[in-house]
Amino acid sequence: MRRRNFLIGGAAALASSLVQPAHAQKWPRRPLTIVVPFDVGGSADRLARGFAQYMPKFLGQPISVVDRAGASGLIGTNWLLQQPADGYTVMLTPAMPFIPVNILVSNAHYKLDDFTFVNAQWTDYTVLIVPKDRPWRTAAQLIDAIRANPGKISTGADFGSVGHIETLALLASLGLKPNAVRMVTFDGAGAMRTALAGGQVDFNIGQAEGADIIKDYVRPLAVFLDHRVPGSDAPPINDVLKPYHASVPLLDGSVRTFVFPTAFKAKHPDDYTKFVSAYRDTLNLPEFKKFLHDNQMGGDWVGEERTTQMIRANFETLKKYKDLLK
Amino acid sequence: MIDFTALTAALHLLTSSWQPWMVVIPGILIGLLVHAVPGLTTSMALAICLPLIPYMDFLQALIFMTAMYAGSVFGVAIPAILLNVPGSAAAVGTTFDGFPMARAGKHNEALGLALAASCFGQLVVYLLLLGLAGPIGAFALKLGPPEMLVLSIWGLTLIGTLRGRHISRGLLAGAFGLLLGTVGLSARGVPRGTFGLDLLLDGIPVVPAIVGLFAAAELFNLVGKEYIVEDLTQRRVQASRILAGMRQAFEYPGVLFRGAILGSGIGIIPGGHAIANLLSYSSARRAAKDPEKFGTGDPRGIVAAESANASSEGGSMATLLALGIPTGGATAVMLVAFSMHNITGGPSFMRDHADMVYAVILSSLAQVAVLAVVGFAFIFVAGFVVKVRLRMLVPTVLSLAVIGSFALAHNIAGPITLAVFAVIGWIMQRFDYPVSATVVGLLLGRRTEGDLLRTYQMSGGHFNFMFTRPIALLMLFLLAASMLFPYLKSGRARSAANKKVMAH
Amino acid sequence: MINVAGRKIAVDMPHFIFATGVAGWVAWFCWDAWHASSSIENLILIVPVSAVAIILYFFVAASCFQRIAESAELPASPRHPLAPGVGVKIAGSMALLIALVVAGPLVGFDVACFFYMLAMLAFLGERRIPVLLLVPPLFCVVVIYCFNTLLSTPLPLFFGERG
Repeated sequence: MRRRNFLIGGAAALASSLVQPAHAQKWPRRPLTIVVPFDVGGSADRLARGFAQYMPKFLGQPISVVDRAGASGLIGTNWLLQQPADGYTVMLTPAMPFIPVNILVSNAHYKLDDFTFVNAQWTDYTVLIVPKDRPWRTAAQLIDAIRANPGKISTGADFGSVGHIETLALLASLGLKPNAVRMVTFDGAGAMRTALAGGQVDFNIGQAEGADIIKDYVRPLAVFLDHRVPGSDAPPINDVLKPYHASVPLLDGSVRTFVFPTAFKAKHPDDYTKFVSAYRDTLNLPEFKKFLHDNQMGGDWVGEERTTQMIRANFETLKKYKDLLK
Repeated sequence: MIDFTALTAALHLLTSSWQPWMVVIPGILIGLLVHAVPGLTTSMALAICLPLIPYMDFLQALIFMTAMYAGSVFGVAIPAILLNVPGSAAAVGTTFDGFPMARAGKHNEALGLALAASCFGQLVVYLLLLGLAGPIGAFALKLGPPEMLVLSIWGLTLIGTLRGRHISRGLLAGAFGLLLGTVGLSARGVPRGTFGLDLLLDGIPVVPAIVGLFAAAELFNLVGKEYIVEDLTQRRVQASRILAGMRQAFEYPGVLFRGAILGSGIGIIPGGHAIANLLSYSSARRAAKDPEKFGTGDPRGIVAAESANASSEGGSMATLLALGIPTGGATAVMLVAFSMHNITGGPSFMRDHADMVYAVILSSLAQVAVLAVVGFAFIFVAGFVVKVRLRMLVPTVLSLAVIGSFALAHNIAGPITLAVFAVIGWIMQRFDYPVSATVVGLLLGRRTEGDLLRTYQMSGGHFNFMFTRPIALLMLFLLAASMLFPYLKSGRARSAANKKVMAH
Repeated sequence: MINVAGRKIAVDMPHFIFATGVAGWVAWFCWDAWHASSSIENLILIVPVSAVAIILYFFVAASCFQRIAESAELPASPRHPLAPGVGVKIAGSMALLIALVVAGPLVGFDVACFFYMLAMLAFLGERRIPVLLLVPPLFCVVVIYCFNTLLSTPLPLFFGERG
């Protein structure tokens, strides 16, 4: 099917290029590819497939989704940068934390400046949770317990994740050494959630969406935001830390955004603008809004500037704590 | 422990109309096909099926998913027996005795044995689930890194029994596999043995490596031969012999039951379903009076591996339903599909929607019966593979395996691993190193290290930590006991024989 | 297999080379892991298992050397000799498999599989022209294009737009 399209499309392009000079044609002239650097079925992949369904009407070309998982997004991101920066390949990924983590932990060869972050559409926040059977009912109780029993209380961490960094930041801000808690590292958030649900570790700082999956087993004690979350008793973490004369930087959790190589916007600014407006139109489409709602996905419009600021700020904070990861 | 109102509600739901049941046969067939053809993967099945699920009504989707699941559980055994290519890591144990049987012309019986054992295993586990889904879930949560570590150690002891004629070579092969399993980024973010390659950061792709070690190495050996089954008179597909094989499974009730119960228990543990077949195999072998027969084409090997494999998948389903947490590829697929129809699993779900839980279990039970029939027809057709000339079969299977390994690893690391390990596997066999020991090490490497690390981290470096984990200690005790038991038995037999001698 | 070093010692050279290769990798891997991080947490499994592997290697290596009496004959190779011609077939099949894997990303798996099938069929003795002409293209068209529609990560293909 696609092969036929390719041949027909190729023939059509050839024919029309004989009629008009190539640059007068509107972008996009052929189908787009969204690359997701994670596995099929994951949240980014499902969001991308939603776009593949609803966005073509605004772009005038079909969209296909390609998964290139591996090394926490490193493989797919490298692949994006290897494609021509002509706007026909775009990446949809939780740029935060994975691109900074790739750079800081996995020695990726790219830099933040290599990317254009279009819009932080779906952002998750970080939350401190304990298994329901543990005695602490407030974050302060947990902190006191850690200080009173150094080296006894355990925490589960998905290594290199935002939650992990926040855990280290929290300990540092309280003047505690990293080994004040027993850090149990997991290979992935799923395994850690299972362990947490089973009460294998005493607390965890991690993604709120993940905590929601195991909400029957855990109790949130604080959120890493500067405001309360409606429907939850958990206070903002820095409020909790005030009596201890401590505070932690508030890193954004999973930030899903479209990502282009910088060269695309630089070389084809009009095409980029076209993509962005088609994207915005899709976000405003009632059917797409329903899709997002049914799948519990976010649909925020934050804009490129603010998104880039967010990611840069997070990156700088991560850089500071990177050495604690060793 | 059975909520009868919910049970009757579920029965009512399932029997409310017959039309949704029409998806059973396609579902089972897709499950079988995707896992029986080397090269096809679960994510491909996902690609076919996920788009259809929202269009099906709830009952149809439910029946379809459980049918696909049932098919995929058994499907992996088919290439394991016929080609020595396990359809997934869960069929590795089946290759040990399955392929030798096929080569001896007993492929019909082998396939029949596997089908019967698989159906029985699924039957047992779903019946157990009917009464125990909730408690099973709660129990599963209590199992943490120390318990999983003991499980991995148990799996590793299998290496000792797979040693072949030379102990040191067998153990070296196992250690080699274990280390290979740890290549890549550790749980602490440290890259080991990656040569600086991004492609290796996730480690060596396990299934391509296993397929390379087992299959390619075997297939290379076969290039000198014409057919898998050399004897023309044996090279036939006979329904009667398949049936005979199915009946034969029940001649080993001990092995069958032990496998089913063991598998159910291990399947509950996250990730356990992949190694349940190995653990059952090693238990059956240890308990047997003539363990040296295992690995040469002993039906008990197939029965042990398949019954545990089948029941362990049911165990995974239990964890999925009871906890709402998927424990592996297939259950992750189910969760995605289920969540499209608002089945999320978890304790609150079990409380408020017990009827749906029972519907899933009952549907799975019904699938067992259908699987027996559809599976029979499928293996009848699949059996014709032995009639294909090897010079056509070998390149076909290898090409499919290459493509499949690309699909599994999502990049070229898959095919490269396949080729590299094909050569290594052949060389190992040539020098009398048991490839299966390396495979076991490879399968268990990552999880053993991870759980060992986490147990160490949880303990804070204190040895008396293990005393706070009674379940782990119990498991260790049982493991030690089962390892010593054969020696005690032969010791007693010897002293009884001595007594006899002395009495004269 | 023959090596004289003062006394007559039979050396199973191929096996010795292989075993040393494995042990060499183990030693390198252990060193690489230690070099990346020398913490207990990193080495908790690797160091003990590597140590055991190296010890086992010494046992295995020792078994490669056998002292034989001056007048005795050399012991036969412990392995069954391959039937004539089979060795070539096996080596050839391995080489073709490696070629397939290397060529795949370069020229596309469709083209690479086509040539692989053709080469293997001919190499393994297929002489019927219809089979040689029909099977490779059939395989490529049916299998590869079907697979590619199902795969979420596209195969590198010659005749295709993705990859």
